[in-house]
Amino acid sequence: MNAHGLTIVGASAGSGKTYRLTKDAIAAIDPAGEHPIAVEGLLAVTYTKKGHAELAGRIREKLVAAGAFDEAMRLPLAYVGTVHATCLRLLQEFALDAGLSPSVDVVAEDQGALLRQALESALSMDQHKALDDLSARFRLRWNGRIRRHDWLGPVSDIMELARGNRIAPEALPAMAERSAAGLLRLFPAPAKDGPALDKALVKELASTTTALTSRDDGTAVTRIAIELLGEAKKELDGQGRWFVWAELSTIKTSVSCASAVTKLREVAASYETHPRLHTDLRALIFAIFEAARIGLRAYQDWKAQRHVVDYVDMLDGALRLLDHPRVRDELGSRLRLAVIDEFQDTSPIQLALFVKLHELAKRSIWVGDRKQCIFEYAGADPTLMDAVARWVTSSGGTRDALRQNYRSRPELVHACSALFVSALARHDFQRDEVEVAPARPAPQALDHLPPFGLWCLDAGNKLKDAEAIASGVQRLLQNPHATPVVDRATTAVRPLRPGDIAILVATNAETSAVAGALHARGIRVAVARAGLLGTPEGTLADAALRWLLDEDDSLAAAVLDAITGYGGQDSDTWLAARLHDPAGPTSVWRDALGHVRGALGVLSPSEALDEVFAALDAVHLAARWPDPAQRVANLDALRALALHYEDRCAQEREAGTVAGLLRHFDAMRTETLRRDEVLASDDQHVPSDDGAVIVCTYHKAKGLEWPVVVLASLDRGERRNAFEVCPETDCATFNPEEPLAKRWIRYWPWPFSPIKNLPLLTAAEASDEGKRIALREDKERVRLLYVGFTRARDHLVLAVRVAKGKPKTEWLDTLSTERGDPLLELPIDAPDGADDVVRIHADSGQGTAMPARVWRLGSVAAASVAAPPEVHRWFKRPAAPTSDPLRYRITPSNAREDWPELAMPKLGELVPLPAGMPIDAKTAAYDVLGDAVHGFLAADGDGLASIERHARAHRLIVAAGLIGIVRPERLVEAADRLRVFVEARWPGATWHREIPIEAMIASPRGARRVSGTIDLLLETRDGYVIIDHKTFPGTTEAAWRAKTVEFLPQLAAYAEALRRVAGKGVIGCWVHLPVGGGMVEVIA
Amino acid sequence: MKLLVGWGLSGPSFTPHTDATARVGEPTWGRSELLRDLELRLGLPREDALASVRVPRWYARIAKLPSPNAFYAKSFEVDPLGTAQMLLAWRDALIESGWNGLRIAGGGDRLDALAAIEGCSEIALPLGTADRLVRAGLNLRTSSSKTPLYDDIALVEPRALWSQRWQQLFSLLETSGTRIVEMRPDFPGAPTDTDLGRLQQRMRGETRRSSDKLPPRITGDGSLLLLRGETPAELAELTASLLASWRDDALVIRSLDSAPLEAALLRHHLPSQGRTGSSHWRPAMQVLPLALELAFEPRDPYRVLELLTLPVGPFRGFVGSMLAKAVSRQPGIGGQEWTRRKLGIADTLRQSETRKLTEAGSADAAALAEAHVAERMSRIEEWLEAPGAGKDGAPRATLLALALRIRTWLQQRLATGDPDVYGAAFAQAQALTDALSNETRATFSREDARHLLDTVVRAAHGHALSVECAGRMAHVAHPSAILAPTASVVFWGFVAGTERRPALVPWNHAELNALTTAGVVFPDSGKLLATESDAWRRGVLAARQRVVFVVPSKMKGAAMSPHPMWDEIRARLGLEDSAAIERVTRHAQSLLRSEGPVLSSIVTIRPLALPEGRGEWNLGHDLFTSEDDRGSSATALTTLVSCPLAWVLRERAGLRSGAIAKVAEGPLLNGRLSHRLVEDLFWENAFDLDEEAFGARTDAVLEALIRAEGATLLLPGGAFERAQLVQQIRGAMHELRRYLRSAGFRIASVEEPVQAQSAVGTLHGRLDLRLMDASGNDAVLDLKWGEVTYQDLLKSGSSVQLAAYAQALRSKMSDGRWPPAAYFALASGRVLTVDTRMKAPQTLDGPSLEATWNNVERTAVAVKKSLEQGRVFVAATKRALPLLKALDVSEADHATYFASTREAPCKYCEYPAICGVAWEGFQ
Ligand code: SF4
Repeated sequence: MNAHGLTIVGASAGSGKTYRLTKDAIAAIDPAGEHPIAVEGLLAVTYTKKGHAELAGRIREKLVAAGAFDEAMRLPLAYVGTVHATCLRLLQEFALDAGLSPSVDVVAEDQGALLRQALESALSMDQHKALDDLSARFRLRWNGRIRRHDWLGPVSDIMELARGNRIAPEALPAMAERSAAGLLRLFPAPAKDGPALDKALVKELASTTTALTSRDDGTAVTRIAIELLGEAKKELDGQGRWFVWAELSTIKTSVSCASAVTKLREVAASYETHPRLHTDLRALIFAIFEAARIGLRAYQDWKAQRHVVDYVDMLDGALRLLDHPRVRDELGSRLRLAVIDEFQDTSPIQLALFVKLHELAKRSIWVGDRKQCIFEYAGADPTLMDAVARWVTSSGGTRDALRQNYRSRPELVHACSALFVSALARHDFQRDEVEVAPARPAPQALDHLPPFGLWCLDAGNKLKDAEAIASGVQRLLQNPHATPVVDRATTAVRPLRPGDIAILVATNAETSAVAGALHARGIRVAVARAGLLGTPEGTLADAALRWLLDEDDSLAAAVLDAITGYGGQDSDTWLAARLHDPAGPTSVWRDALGHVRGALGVLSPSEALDEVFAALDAVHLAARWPDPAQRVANLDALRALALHYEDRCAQEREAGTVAGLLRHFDAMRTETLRRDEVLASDDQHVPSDDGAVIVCTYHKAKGLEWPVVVLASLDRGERRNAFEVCPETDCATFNPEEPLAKRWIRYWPWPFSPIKNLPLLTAAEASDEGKRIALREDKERVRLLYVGFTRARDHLVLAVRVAKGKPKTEWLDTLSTERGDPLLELPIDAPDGADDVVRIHADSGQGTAMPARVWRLGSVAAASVAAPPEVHRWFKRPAAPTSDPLRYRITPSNAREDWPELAMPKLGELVPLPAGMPIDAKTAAYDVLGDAVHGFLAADGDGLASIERHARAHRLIVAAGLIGIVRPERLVEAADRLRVFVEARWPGATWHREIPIEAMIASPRGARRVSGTIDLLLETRDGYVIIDHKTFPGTTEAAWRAKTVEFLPQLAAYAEALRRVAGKGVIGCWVHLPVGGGMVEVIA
Repeated sequence: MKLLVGWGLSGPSFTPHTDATARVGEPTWGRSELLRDLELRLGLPREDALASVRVPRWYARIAKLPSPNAFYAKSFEVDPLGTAQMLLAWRDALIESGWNGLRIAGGGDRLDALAAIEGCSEIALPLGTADRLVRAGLNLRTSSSKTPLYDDIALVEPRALWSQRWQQLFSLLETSGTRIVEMRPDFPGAPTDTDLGRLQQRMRGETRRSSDKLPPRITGDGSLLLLRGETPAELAELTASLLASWRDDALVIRSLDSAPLEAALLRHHLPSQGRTGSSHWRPAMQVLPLALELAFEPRDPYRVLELLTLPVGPFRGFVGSMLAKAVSRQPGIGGQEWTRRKLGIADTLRQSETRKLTEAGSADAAALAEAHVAERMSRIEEWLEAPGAGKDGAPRATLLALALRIRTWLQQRLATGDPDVYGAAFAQAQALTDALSNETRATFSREDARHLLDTVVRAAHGHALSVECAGRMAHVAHPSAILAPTASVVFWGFVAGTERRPALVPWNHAELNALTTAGVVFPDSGKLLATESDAWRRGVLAARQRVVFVVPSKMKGAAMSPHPMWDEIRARLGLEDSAAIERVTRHAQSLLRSEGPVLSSIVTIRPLALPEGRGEWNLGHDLFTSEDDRGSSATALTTLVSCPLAWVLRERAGLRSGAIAKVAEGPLLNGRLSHRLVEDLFWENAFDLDEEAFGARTDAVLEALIRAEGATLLLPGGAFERAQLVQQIRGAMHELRRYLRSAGFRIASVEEPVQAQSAVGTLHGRLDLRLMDASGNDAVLDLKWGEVTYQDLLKSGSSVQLAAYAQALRSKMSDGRWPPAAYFALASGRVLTVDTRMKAPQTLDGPSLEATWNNVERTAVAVKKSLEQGRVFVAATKRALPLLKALDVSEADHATYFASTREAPCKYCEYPAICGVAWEGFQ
């Protein structure tokens, strides 16, 4: 396969990617274009839902502006959406062709958690134990705090990678073999006699213990060594614990005792050649891959049983679909252009899909930026991207690049170009891929604002960094005119607002720290943070629902009292009253929620929450609590939790209840390990207005921009090494036929946790695998910085911790020359407030100096900084009305309640008809019979042939299950009797059967509407006659009268409504009793 | 009759008729109403076949056909019901488009396969909407009536876009004398010198290419407004305040999420517009899925809790609440707590029923009461205690019996209860009974049962959450229901995703060609989309004064973008320029900050402080006088000397959580299970067995305990935890046994009730283990899960509970000596003690329990004194003084008093929202 028709567009940050995508799509569809394609032939895949909304919106707008209305209308017929939405649509359209279940239910939960569940259900207790034992020998991924090792992590990682790379479970054992062989190659050859080594160690341990104990010089280091020897003895009692060997091989004492441990260190250092270590390691690797294999199989079964698919299945299914001849034919004839956005972030399996789509559409445009490939953890593979880029150029495709930057002011564009041309040069990026020209005009008003800022943080740890950064933001906001920015909407220069500032950090924990520090200074923060259920509004929702379910929940009641202001009392009075009356004093909320409790029997969980909010006027409470904007917005986040709960119940096909919702609340507020961080899931609303400073991770900042960006965490040092589950490939080039071929998973467990600096690490670093990882890591760190640096529109601040006169810039230093020299030189010695320069060096030797404003920021505790007093404002509400509301709709059959002011009619004449309707059975269901009689009288239209009348009667009697109870001809006879009566009384009247009537009724509380259907309305010259059929068994006149009285309000309502129809009055109202055979007059 | 019929007119509509004083014979109908009326007039019985009946029938037809090569065969194998559902939907769409059910010449294998299923008529398929249209057409054609059924029908949507079957009906009606016309609403529009007028002008000229390229000038005169805000909550308040201030007629298009708007209207004293919610999750409808879940092992304690606390469920009220408490404490069914609570329930029921019957003069009160108790108890047994199905699945007959039982129960409820509450649930139980009766599978796994329930039975049920009130503002759910002009139109929830899209046609070109030849024609999707766009435009064109679009940034957590019509408006008005957009946009938050042009009145409101973290509460009266020495516990004593406020809230104000308490988990559950294990092993003398036999008993008893009292560990996701826990507990039991032997102790009693006299009254409690050595000397062993915490408590002289137990045991002893005492840490299997007499492998350095007790007593006395003065100190608010300082204990004496660390008491405290600790970051 070649890449003819495929264009890769390199779109550097801020280069107008969406503009280009829209342009290409419009050019293809616009009927005024050269070779327009049908809208249905467009496939446009975006990375996010937001991206999709933006792209679809722009395309529609342009089409309308160009007068292409039909095309704009048809846009929903095109495949425009996220990759998942596109796959879902393909699967739904072609499920039966592909032999899949048509109900494509996508599992909502985090796939990792499901994989783990499947794994644990499939592993036997013996396998479990074996893995435990092996892991214990290596203290695999040891967590000292909870004293547990973890083999589940690598097993899950292998399972996830296998799924994302379409690796069959059966292929995993071979990968275990390759992994083991690779790892063991890093060790010296095993010795022959393992038991001898054991013996030697035990012996040496004993003698060293004696020697060291007797020589104990009282120093802390020797004390620790002695304790270590004691622990080691215990640990070595059972199976070999390899970390103990490693630990002993590096044991330290005071200088005076050093000689006592020399021999022990030597003996322990032989662990690397211990044959049992080699066997154990091999066994561990195999056991882990085997567990992953079992888990993957079980996961497939689990999904099949539940008829659900996960995201990878969806992609996989779509991929398989595209091989099906019928689907290929159909799509091949339909698709004409495939546009892929954010192409660099696609996972290998997505890439395979896009290749296939290109094959069908024959024309594709893939827009992306290799420099911004930062979602490796989410499955993107930068190495693969590089290979694809090479393949496109070499096999007939074209490459294009967007070389203008519309986002940042010229100084920043130049600086970033200079910096990253050099930084990326050693990672195979050509100058023209990186360098962009500024296209945004620079207003003069920004001249006195240096493009760079340097915040030297005088801090000793992350929390203090956060305080210092927060103080910097506060300083910015105290004098907004000193940092003017260009308004994105109006393009006018204006003073800084909180929402113009974004602080980028590396981890979620840092996000919380910075947000906390800002919050403490009274600065609103837009940040994704948990803790929703711990807020006043979360507490209110939780307590109210608990109290609704159980009135005896005195704790919930007290909490509601407390957060709603103790019913207007002070807290002492409240508690004193509570002690006096344990049932609790009555409060406003009790009455309000009492009404909700009355309806709890019909409310769904989310409706119950809505009713709680409505009853308690939660929005007004929230507007009165501190930080009202956040409080009010969080109500929506709580409703989202309830919706999420119900969605999950639907997915799981389980029940959903208020108790279940409360449990969901508990689960959401519990902190769990997500990726590398322990986080809760009860996320609060993230404000999007310009009154809140944005704090987010570098990853989340992708695709966004702000006037002022503060880059933090620049000292981030953690790096991945070869001892992680890692995708590998044996194929240096990209194979479009099989993009995922020759991919495999390598896993080397680190065998000596928690000890790190051992010869094995050095050997691993020097290995090919280690070098590859290091290079990947280096590249990723540079790419992430590229994303950070290119977010700023007007002013870019580097927040750097400075300790003992040295900057802590381990991450920043990855921006280096080929020789490894840092490219950035920061004026860290400049005094506070000074205008200085940031120097950007280049390999060529030419440097650039960029003006920078330097601030020195201390980590003053927030408590000393008084937040400005809050003013609570809200939309004005009118004074309370004086009367209760009335129902809008009046149903005639319920007129007694709905319309009490209606004058009640009286009974009048009673006319027996010649006969009633004989019933052939003793018992009859009169409601069913009534429907049949009604049905017939409605259908017995004028001029129907007798045979048809009988046929209709028969059909209705059969359908009502009344055969043997009423003969069909009885219906016809009853209708005839009515006709005779009517013709005698109102000759020549026009019959209107089942006629709807509606009328507006004025009331002191506003207009009301009465509406219903009159069974039979006779229109005479003098006016209307209303006839209502009632089927009931009574045959005596007294019974008729008694029955008719029940219907007086209904007839009165009809008559009253009819009177309002201009033209005619009501001259009669009658109740027709077909079964008893009579007519009763109602005088309305 | 003169009908107005449109696709969007089934619900609330806004037509020229809406404000008419009165009219007769001029209804406004949607498609379903028209069809039903036609049937009524043609004498056709009502047919409301549910999917739950039609899908299994269609499935039975497919299953009957031996067609391994059919295009759907593989899917049918994977998901029979789902495939049947999809094929039936295709079939219905074909029938509605004119298919007669016979083979289509040249239609290909897919259409042939459908024709084959359709031909399998020995299994009757109840009528769907398409079949009803066909039936009405046939009857209309053959009717002998000479009078037209209706005088006029005005169609809102173009006649050509109605389905083939509808078009056939219209033709037949026309033949019989009915006049069919297409309705063209008349909208005068806004003055052309307003922003809205200009937009309307542009919209009206939509069909031609815009000749005047220059966009009109948008002034921001308020006739066109885009209200932006963070969430519907604040926008609802803004919208309601605007509606309240406008005196003219307004129409609200409520496309999405009307709950916040309804609440806001109410608060602004505007009449309710009424709201109907549709949901799968109505309480009575959960009885069936919950009961079905509990028909399988392992039974999820959380599900048990849900069934017990379901507001209209079989156990609501006292019984449910009591059993729920048992399950929260010991998650499972049939454990110690469950049994105890059940006995309690029986006693209470017996007493109350006997009293009731006796008061009512029953001669046989005791026997009748007993029968009542037996009936209630048997319900517990039947619904909750009967063993569930295991790995092999549940036999069909079992599930059928269960469905029937629930149906009967719901039927009884329905007889006396509200149909709105029980009606839909009963229909579901009936549907499941039907489906199971038609099933061919002999057994069902839990997943099968869930899938069956989901595919066949589950349906949303509508419920009126609020009713329309007199004087309410007009409203519609979709702009297609707008056919008359009004002053203001508010698009509430003007967001993408609310537009309706035509269903995708699954047929390819060749198939469509063959279908067309056979007279089966689908409406053009593009034209259907254009009709939808027309409907949205009508919302704008209908306004005479202003149009307001309300767009929140987020709605129930999901990011929202404006409705696609906004793109069109931008294009028509040339609003590419952001400044122009800003002129018509108002942000709720800016309005609240009183920035920009005034739109609605903003007032300053009184802030509401959250409970402040006070250092001391002053209740002004003696909090001990009410003490009737009803007894206290060691835990209460610990609270008293750690945080007096927490003590008052719990022991005096009685603040406790209710039936939905947190289910025991983690260390708490682990500890409880281990306690119970030791208890059971003791009662069966297992500690005297040899190691191997002891191990075997430990395993067996623990397994049974987990099932009955720790069933959360059996749930999916619990196996890793369970495996590690079992290992840990097993190890701990061995260590305990080994320790007892090596230290020369035996267990004399478990859970023995004891009392201790303290300065603040009598403490009651139970000793986990009373040990006895060979000489008959007693010792206390208190079982705890963790290690570090209790080690620290002992080292710092803070182990109040252990000291209290030792004191309790001491008071039983004749010599008044302090007995030795220790904690046994189950997680590590270690004995923690400061007393060498415990003969533990290691003795910790720390004050004796006697000293601890004396210190505690001193603090308790001081706290008591403060409480007697009505002063209640708080442990850990920012303003709180260290307790001893607050109690005025001189610095020099601190060593002889007990003092906990500042945060320790808050760790498991339930009152931070009341004492204010929770809000210290919020003030
Ligand atoms: S949270 Fe802490 S301070 Fe507040 S009542 Fe509980 S123990 Fe006392």
